[in-house]
Order: sequence, then C-alpha cells, then structure tokens
Amino acid sequence: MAHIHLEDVWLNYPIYNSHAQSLRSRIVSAATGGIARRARARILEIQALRGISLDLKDGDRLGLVGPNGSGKSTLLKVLAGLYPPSEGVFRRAGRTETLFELSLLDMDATGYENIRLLIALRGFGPEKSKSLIADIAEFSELDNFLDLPVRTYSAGMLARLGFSVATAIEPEILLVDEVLGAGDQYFLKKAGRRIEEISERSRILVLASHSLDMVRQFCNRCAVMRRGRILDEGPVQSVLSRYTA
Amino acid sequence: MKHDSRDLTQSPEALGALVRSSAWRFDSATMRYRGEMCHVEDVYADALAMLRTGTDDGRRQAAEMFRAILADAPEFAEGHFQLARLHAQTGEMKDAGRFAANAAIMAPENLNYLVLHVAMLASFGETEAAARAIRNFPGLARLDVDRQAPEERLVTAFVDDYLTLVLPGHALLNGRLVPLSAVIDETVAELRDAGANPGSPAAARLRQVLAHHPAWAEARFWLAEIARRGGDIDTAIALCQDGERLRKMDWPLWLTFGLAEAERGNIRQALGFFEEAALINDHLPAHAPNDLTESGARALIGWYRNVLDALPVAPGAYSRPWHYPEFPEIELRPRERAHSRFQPEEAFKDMAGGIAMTSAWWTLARNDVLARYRRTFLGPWWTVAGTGIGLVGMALVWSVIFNMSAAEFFPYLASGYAVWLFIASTMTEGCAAFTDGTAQAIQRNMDLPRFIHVMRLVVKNTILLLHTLTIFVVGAVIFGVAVTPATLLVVPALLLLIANAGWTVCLFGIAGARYRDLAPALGALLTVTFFVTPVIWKPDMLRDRAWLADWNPFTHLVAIVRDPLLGAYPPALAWQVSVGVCAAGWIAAVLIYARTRRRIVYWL
Repeated sequence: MAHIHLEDVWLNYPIYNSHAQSLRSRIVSAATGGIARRARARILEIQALRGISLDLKDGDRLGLVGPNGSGKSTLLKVLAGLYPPSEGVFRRAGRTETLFELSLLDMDATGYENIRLLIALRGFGPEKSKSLIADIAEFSELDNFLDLPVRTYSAGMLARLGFSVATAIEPEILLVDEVLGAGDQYFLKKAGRRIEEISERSRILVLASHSLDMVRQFCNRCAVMRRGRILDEGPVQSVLSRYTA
Repeated sequence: MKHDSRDLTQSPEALGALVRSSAWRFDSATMRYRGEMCHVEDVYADALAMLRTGTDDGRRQAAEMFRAILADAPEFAEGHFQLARLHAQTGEMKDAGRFAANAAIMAPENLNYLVLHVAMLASFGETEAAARAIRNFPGLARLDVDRQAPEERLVTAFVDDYLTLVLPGHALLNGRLVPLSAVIDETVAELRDAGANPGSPAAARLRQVLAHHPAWAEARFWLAEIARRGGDIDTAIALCQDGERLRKMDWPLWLTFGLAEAERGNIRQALGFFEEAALINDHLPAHAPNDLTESGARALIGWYRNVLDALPVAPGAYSRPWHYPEFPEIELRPRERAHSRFQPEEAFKDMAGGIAMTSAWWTLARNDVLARYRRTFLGPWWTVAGTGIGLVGMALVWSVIFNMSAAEFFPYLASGYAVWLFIASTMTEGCAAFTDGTAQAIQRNMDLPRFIHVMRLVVKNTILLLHTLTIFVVGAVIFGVAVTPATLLVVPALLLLIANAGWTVCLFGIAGARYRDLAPALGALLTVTFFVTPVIWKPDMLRDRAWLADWNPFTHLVAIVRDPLLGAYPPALAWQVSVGVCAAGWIAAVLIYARTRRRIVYWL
C-alpha cells in the first residue's frame, strides 16, 4: 500500500556560486582571519518550500500547477527522496519511479545500453532484465532507434524512452515533472492509458505540469503552488475552476 | 454610396432594421471625416487606438471621432455604444443613457449594449424598463440570470454580474452608477466615522463591493485590516487567503496576512508574507526569513505592526505614501549550515546499501570501461596496448641509465606502473565521482545510495588495473620472473589497495564536488608525486636519502603489490603503512561522508 505523508515541510535550498565553490576563497578566508570572509559572497539560500503538508494515499493522482519557480519541481524532488527536507516530517511507503528530465544516463551510449543501465540501477539481475528490455523496447516503439546513441534522439523520443523505463516495472508511486508533454499526441494517449492502468490498481501519481489539460486528463486531485506554498488543494475540477477564474 | 439622400434622422429601430437587412454594411460604409471621404472602419479603428492610450485627451479625441462617424453613419450601433461608455465615464449620464438606448435597440442581440443600457436605466430609477429589457434579451437563456426574480433584484444582480464587461471599475450602488474608487473612498470615510466597526453598514457595503469585485484589493485590505484590528484573526486570514487564491494580492494585504499569521504564532509564514510585500514595495525591508533570529523576527513583526496600526482608516490612505517609523536594529542569524547534521548511521546505511547494489555498480563500471572504446576493435585492450608500448620504451631507456638488465627492470616497472596508474586515476577521477554527467543524472532522478558512485569508480579502475597487470604477466613470462610462496601475498595486497581506493574516491569525490578547483590542482600535483615515488627507480638508489621514499605513503602502497609479484616479501613497514593509511582514510571518509552526504545533491 503506497502512501506519502508530508507535514509542515520546509526546504532551504543553498545556491553555490562559483566563488563560494572554489578552494581559493576558502583558503583566502582562512588565511585572512575573516576579513575576506565578510567580503566573500554569501551562500544564497532560497526557501524553496514553505510549510507543505500533503497526504497521498492509494488512488490519488495529484496534479501540481503554478507559475515557474513556485516549487513544483522541488516538491517532486522531495517526494522522490532526492532533497531531504530542512524541517518537517516526510514519510513515504512504496516503490517510487521518477520522470524528471529529458536526459538519460549516458547520452553517448545507445538506447539499449541506457535501458540496461537504468534496469541495473533498479537492482534487477540479468534474467529479469532481458524480459524488461523487450517490454521497454516494445512499449516505447522506438525500434531501430534503440541501437543509436541517445544524443541523436528528439525530446519526444527521450520522453518515450524515459516513460517506458519508469513504468516498465509498475511503480507504486510515479512522479512526473512536465517532460511527458514532449511526447506526441499518440504517445500521450498511450501513456495516459498506462497511467490509468496504474492508478486503477490504486497507486499514486504526482504530476507537475503547466498544461491544465494534462492535469485534467491524468489527475483526480490538484494542488496550486506559489512561492513554495500550496495555496489550494482538492478535487481537480473545483481547484482548476478556481485557478483559472 | 448615395449618402446625402439618406434620412439621417430615422429612429434607432429603423436604423437597426436597415443594418439587419444588409442595406448598410459596416465594412463598406464611408463617411466624411475632416473634409475627406474615409471608410467608417478606419476611423473606428483610429478611435479605438485613441481609447487605448488611456489618457483624457485620447478619450476626448475618440469621442470626437465617434460623433463624426454617427453624423454620417448613424447605423453604426457600436459608435452609439462607445459614445455611451465615454459619457458614462465622464458622468454625463443623460447623454450616456440616450446613446446606450440607441445601441441596445439597434442591436438587441448584443450583450454589451444591453448591459450598458440596463445599467443606465437602473441609474435613472427606471427599474421596470430595465427588467423588461433583460427579459426581452434574445440570448437570455445562455446567461446565468434568475429571470423569475423580482424586478429590482433581477436588475441589480444582472448589473453586478455583467457591468465589468462594459464599464470596468464601476458599480451600481444605491441606484447610482459610479466609479468603484469613489465608492470605496466614500465607504472608507463612513467606516472611519463608524469607528472602523466591522458590523457597521459601511463594512457591509465594502463586503458587497468585494463580493462582486474580488479583484478590488483595497476593499479586501480594509475588510481584512479592520478584522485584524478588531481581533477577528480568522476572518482576516480567510479574506487574505481568498485574495491569494485569486492572485489579487497587493503589498498591504500581504502585511495584514503576515500580522494575522503572526498573531496565530505562525512566525515563519508571517516572515514569508512580509518578504512577499517587500518584493512589491521597495520601502519595506527585505529579509529572507532564514536570516532572522527569533528576536529579530519579533522586532520585524513589531515594526510591521506599528506600520499597519499607524495607518488611519481614511479615504485615500491606502494609496497615499505610507508613513514608516524608524526601522529597528534587526538581529540576523549567523550563517547556519543547512543540512550539516552529522548522521553516522545514515551514512553507514548508505554505504552498505551502495555496496549491496552489485548489479548497479557493476553495470555502470562496465559501461565506463566500454564507453571509452566504443566502436573500437581492441576495446579496453587499447589501454593495455598504449601502456605496454610506453613501458617498453621506458624500459629500453631507463634500464640503460640505471645500468640494469631488462629482465630485472621491465617486470619491476610494469608492476609498479600498473599500481601507480590505479592510485593516480582513483584520485583524479575520484574528484568527479559525484559530479560526472552520469552520476549527476542519477542523483537528480533516482533515490539511490550515493555510495554506488564510489563503488562504480573503484570497480572500473580495478577492471582497468587487472588489464594493465597483464603487461606485467607477459613480461614475467618472457623474462622468467620466479613464482615463490610470497607471490600469493598479491591477493591480500590487491584487496588492501582496492580498500584504499574506496576511501580515496569517497573523500576526493566529496571534496571535488564542493571545491571545483581540486581536480586541476590534483592533476598538477600528481606529476611531481610520480617522480618522487619509486616506480621507475628503486628506493635503494636514493642511498642516504632513502627517507624520502620511506615517508611517502605511495611507496608502500606500490610495494605491497609489486614485491609479491616479483616473488619477494614486502617489508613489514609497507604493510603497516598501507593498513594504517587505509584505516585512517576510512575513518576520515566515514566521518566526512556522514556530515556531507545529504548536502552533496546541492553541490551538483
């Protein structure tokens, strides 16, 4: 049984500029006893999430909407366990898959090699991976392209491959950030069916998107985010009608 | 068009019929304007452009153009409507009413014309006629109107809902069509006289304004602010939350929101809202909530409370420049290191988890080895070929210089050099352990033990080490290096060497991610280190400066592998130093990993 629980989660995100990240600035500041340290560029800290509380259970398909920089992607990364919250409670149960960006592990490697890497990173042995590779190749419908280096792929093809891998072994929690939109109409329909299948078996989907149509299509709940907070959360229809009002 | 023969004094009904019968067409109609024949649609477009300037002068000129159009082409209903709007805005209600009626009669299916007409009728007190106009509207079924309502309510609701289509910023209040800002000024004045009482009729009127004009930030602000001053925090917060959901926040409302939240004890939310206000209003101090200490936050909240409390409930006070009291000294938090908590158990769990993910690091390492030689015939054996040729060349030269036989020198060089390559590349490549493209892609997308990136590099370099050692094996066979019981020691020695590589990659990976200068600096240093480490030469060649080699830990790490390969027992000191360095290195790596593991993702 999949479950995500966030309680008053705050996330401070430090921004390191090239100055703060260089060894010289550290040595200089140590040698000058703090005089240079004052002049040193401060490490900027951004409050990316401010008091987020969420409770997602089996069958919840949550759409995250909001302007750029409102914290959608950061929230997804917290849900994925990539960013530890600075404060607050974060609990998650269930195998999680993410679809965050349109790049694979090794852009010079072929589609097949990337699939093998991605499967290995999920901890599957050679036998299981053979059948998985076949599944993924079939679902992505990339055919002979899988023998080419992935740097030759278009954004839509990367989205296809990413989605196919992420859903090949059915995840209990699927986190998707925008990228799915790069796929063409045909593949979006296909992805939609698979997401529906997944959610029919009562799993959790969280989708961040600027496309309200996609949110309407895939989600049953919706959260409006702005400046790191959730302003409005509830059934997708009522939230979106307030959002677009 | 025979323009002069037309009767320009026909009734609006007749004009409307003319338009509907297509005897008059907007897109072909002409008119005289400033002594020239023009198309009506051109003059109309110019007039709209004048309106868009938003200035009084623009509006005056637009009105003149509309009048010119109507003088020659009274069939143009839109001209009547626009003139009606312009008159309504300047308060010439009689003219406005006349033109609005013309437009509505000529084009009875147009909702905009109807709205203006109804609003004008209502403002003249002709409720009955207004209600009739609404009920006769052909598109009534499509509108959200309760047609069974009593006349007065029907008209008020209709105007409230639709007036913003034609006269934004206006409202029908107490039977008068007035600009909202005037209403709010008047209402705020009444509110002041009522002692800012949320129960007063003035407050009720503000609520009425807000219900129909939720974008009116000033009305929302005064309602929320008097609620806050009266201690009704729930109402204040509800009003602010609505404003935020509708994205109709102005900075004063953020201040009220912040103080209300502070009242509830939500200090951090309050500070966030003050920051929002400061982003809009440059006069306000911008403090990131993270920077304030508890007392600093209290001082800031107190200051904002003074600012808001000093604001008199008075018309215009909202938009006039505010008075800001002396800004207090705000205590700032010393730089706190985010996520610097020391978590040894988590670090151990991560390390163990990373080591346990055999398929992950094995596939990654294998891909790394193959990747460099993708589409080549020899594959990773190119490393062997390259290194082998280099070693043969070096052996040819240096064996003469050192006056040693090739049989003695080549196996010595080949074994030592393979170990040195391994050590050097775990250090240089280790700097990019977490920041290399693939490692970043994984860390940005998957929640995996971070230690797999360390394992990946250690394994990759071990694979390459085993490859380069084959050069030694070939040399050993050719030159007949003796296999003795001591040769067996190569197994524990290699394990110890690999264990050392583990902490090296881990530490250099962390440092290299944090300080990007490390990798180039290390590259420069390693060249020197290579020459002071006995790989090409033998330590005993140093004679009385043998301590130089003894104090160099690399000497011992190389020795524990090389000596058994050459059939000799490594000196006890070599074992001791290697084990000691390994232990110390791992302790340091675990301690630093426990502190930084959570933070590495922010350094990418």
